Amino acid sequence: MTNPGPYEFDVIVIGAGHAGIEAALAAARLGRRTALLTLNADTVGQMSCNPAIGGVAKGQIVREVDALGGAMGRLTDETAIQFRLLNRTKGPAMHGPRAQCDKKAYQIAAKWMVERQEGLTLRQEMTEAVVVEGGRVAGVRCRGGAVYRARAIVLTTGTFLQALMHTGETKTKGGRAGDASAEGLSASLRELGIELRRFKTGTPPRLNGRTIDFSRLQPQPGDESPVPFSFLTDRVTQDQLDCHITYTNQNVHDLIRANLHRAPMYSGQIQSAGPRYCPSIEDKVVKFADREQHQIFLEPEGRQTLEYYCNGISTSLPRDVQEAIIPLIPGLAHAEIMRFGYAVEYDYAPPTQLAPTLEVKAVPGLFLAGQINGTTGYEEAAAQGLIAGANAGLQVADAPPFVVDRSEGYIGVLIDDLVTRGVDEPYRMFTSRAEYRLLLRHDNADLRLTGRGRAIGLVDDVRWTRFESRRDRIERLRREVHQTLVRGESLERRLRRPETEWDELVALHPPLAELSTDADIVAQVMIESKYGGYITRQADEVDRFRKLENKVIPMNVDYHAVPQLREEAKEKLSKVRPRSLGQAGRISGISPADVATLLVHLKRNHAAS
Amino acid sequence: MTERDQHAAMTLDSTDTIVAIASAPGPGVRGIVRLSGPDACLLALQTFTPKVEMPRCARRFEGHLVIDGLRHPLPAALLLWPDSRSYTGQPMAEFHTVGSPPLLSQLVAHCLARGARPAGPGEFTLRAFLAGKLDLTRAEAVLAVINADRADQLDVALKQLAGGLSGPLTVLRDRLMDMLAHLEANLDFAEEPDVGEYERHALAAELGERAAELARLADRLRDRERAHDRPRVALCGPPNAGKSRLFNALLGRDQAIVSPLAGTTRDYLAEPCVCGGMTIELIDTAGAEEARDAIEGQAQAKRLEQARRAELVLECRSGDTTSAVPEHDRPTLLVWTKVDRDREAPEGAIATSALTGEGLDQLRKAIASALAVPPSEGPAIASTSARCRESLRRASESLEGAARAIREGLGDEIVALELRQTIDDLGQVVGAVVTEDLLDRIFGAFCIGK
Repeated sequence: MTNPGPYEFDVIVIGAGHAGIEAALAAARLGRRTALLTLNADTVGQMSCNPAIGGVAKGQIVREVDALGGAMGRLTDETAIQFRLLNRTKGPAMHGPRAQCDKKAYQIAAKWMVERQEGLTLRQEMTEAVVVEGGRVAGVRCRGGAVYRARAIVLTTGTFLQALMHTGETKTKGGRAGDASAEGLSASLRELGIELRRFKTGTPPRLNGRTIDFSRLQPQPGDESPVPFSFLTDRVTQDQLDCHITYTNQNVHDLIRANLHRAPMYSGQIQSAGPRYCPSIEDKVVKFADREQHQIFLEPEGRQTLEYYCNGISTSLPRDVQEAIIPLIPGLAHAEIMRFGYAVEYDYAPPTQLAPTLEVKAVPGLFLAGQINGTTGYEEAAAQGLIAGANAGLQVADAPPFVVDRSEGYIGVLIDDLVTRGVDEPYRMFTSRAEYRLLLRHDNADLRLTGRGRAIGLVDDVRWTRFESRRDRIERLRREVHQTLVRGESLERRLRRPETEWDELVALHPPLAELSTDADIVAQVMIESKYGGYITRQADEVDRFRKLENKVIPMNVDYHAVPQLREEAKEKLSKVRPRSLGQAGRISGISPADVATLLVHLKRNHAAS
Repeated sequence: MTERDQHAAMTLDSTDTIVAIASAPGPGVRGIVRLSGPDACLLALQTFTPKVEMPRCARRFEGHLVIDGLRHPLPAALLLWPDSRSYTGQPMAEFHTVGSPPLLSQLVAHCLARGARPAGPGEFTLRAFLAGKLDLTRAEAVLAVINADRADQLDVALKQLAGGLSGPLTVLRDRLMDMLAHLEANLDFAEEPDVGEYERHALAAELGERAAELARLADRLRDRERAHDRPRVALCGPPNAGKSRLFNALLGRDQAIVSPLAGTTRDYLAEPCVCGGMTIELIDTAGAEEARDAIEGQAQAKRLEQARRAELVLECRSGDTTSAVPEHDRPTLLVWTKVDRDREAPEGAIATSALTGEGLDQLRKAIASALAVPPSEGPAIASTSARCRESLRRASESLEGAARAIREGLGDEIVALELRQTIDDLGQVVGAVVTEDLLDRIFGAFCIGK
């Protein structure tokens, strides 16, 4: 075999945001020669929006990405300036770790990690076209004419496709303040038959902390004993910084109402849909007119900057309105704006065009991940990047695909929702989207996924050794608790009672003390018992769910050739091309009878399945 | 999980035991209830006492049914297929007994209470096909029937079975959705100041109220099923519109007092009547007119009640009557009654004559199709009734589970899990999907997003 040239790779990843770095690192971890091309090598792992990672449901995703060997958890632990476990007062399945990060430090750590990864080439390039030969991806062409060749491409363009920023009447091309827009790529994708649509998102103004009167504001400190994100982190030791809370008021709302005609979302300048759960302040004022105030979190952007992110007042109002609003807010009377808020419109590709591997069904070898698939959030992007990168890497080695299902992780819920149901607003994860959320906890992400990651080469020896030790210790403790009888009752049954504490069990059965030195290990056994019957119930549901997931539908089925199917069902099935009967049943508008019909048809024509 | 997903899982999962009425709908000489699945024989034997000790090699046994809510054992035959040599290719049992719809429903309910699951439309056939017992042509024919608009027709049938219940059930489900949205908002948007905590005692109190409401609705369904297992079709219209003549003509006998004087039928009459292969309850009501005395006033009230409770109203008109406005909102067929005298039937009306029999067959067909219960679907609908009841039972159970979770101090995520189950089960009766709807509610009610 000849040595590959400097422009020849196994996998090329376009874009070095949170999806791109996970994709590139995953492909490289699998041993593929990988290139990571970015518009600007200084913005690897940049947080365009607020400098926070995690939260309820999102925190669980970060833990899953980490359990599969991903970067996000480690980068967060290393660079966070505040940790909080959200929903601490609720049950363990609802706990969501969240951290504020030092934005610049995160970026530097991300770039550093990418640079050190064996087999991964980071390069600054503006990609303009995807090159397809013989019906399959062959590479990309960059500005200036350079052509990179690879059999698999992962596109993670974020908000950069045909990006247009709005601040009031002012429109600027670019995917993020100060950055460019990727102009040629959309046309190239359309030529390949990929449908593109527009979404909108926005950011708030940033302020100089020197000019904020913190004495008037309510501080919000981090947790005293922070919970780390990565299963590789034993404990977080850095000092934490406070966030602060303030509120809008009627004066602010009046001013916004008086200027609504100048807001691009209301003047008609922006037509595309934005996320309902991340509304602009003008949206909040209009849709919830009766609210007297809206909360604002002032979040420090780092240790070596005084820049503060005003979480809660995302806006695209003109700069003079932004300048007039800020001083009306308590604590911000003299605050200086460092960057104005803006809205950005960008192209995304409706994700029903994708297979569960995130490969474009119509273009073999082309994978899409992150905001280009109509999602929002660093965490959602990272999860998709990891899955797309891994599958790109597996595909070029002719290995079977890697799919996480809805019962194994939020990653599975995310991707299945995207490719099966599509999106009509930017998609964010909520725990309510997960059917089996008692099972999908942040504390057991490794038990759910690390083994699967190991099997395909995503998980290195260091992580695997750590995992095995933790898994085995949990198992030992679990066995002890189940098998030890005290007065005819197993310790496990006793633990199921709401009032039973761990110390009580140790008192009843002293040998437990030796097995329960690690609080994490004890927590696993406790959670399983406290949720008890409900976990069993969900596990039973998972068994039923799996039966249909395991009934695979061959990709070449011609739905129009099944006379018993209704027309609507033929259309929908042809569009989504479900991978399994289970997925077919989740397509909106597909009835159980359609699924039964399909099953009958498959039995006849594809005896093997 | 949306209830659609669960439904799909039920259809294709052949590892559990299903039960349904397998005989034609309405009263008949013989009623059949069929069971298929691993526990079919066991379940059947728990329900049946043989007359004599069962000979080992026989398949058919005479004996008695012993079922919940039945005071006296009922004579019946039990047919057993203990192995894969059955229609469905798995253990199967059939009870053959008298064809009384309420009794058959009770028998099905009895099996459901012991772990069987209501069979979906075409599910026995599907199992037969999956086991290789049925050739493809046959299976496809069956599927073609259960597919497509069949589902919609079943929905309609379901609504009729639930009678006036689907309205209140939808309202109840809607309230539970609001509660769930509040709980979920609290779970997913912990940081949002706009989302207030649901106070536990308020939550418990509200759950209690909803549970009581659900119990009342379930009772009403049961009452309704006992009293009337047949769809009700009421003859309405102004006095002297020929309702009673039509009533007699459809029944083929001389039952009502017929006189040329307006207002002869004072109260109302109800008789079973066969229409297009199905049995309906045909109701003749007093003419719509101003009450002249107390007795007429009473009759009026009863007539109106009958019309409002009917699944279908036949609005009768003739050349002798003025065009009265119906006082009900039930599905309606317009019938022109005396076409022998008056050829000019108004547009959209079915022209009939009690005298000559003209148009009666057409009317019978129209009734059957308006009720959307083609004869071939009878068994499916009978099992729909059982499914409906089973869904309500499960909904009650999970609603109680939600209340229990609060009593025991378990987390909101557990309460939400039970509530979701309740909503899914009610969705089986009134139809709806959960997830997106839930998010719409959350974003509509709370200002979420930083």
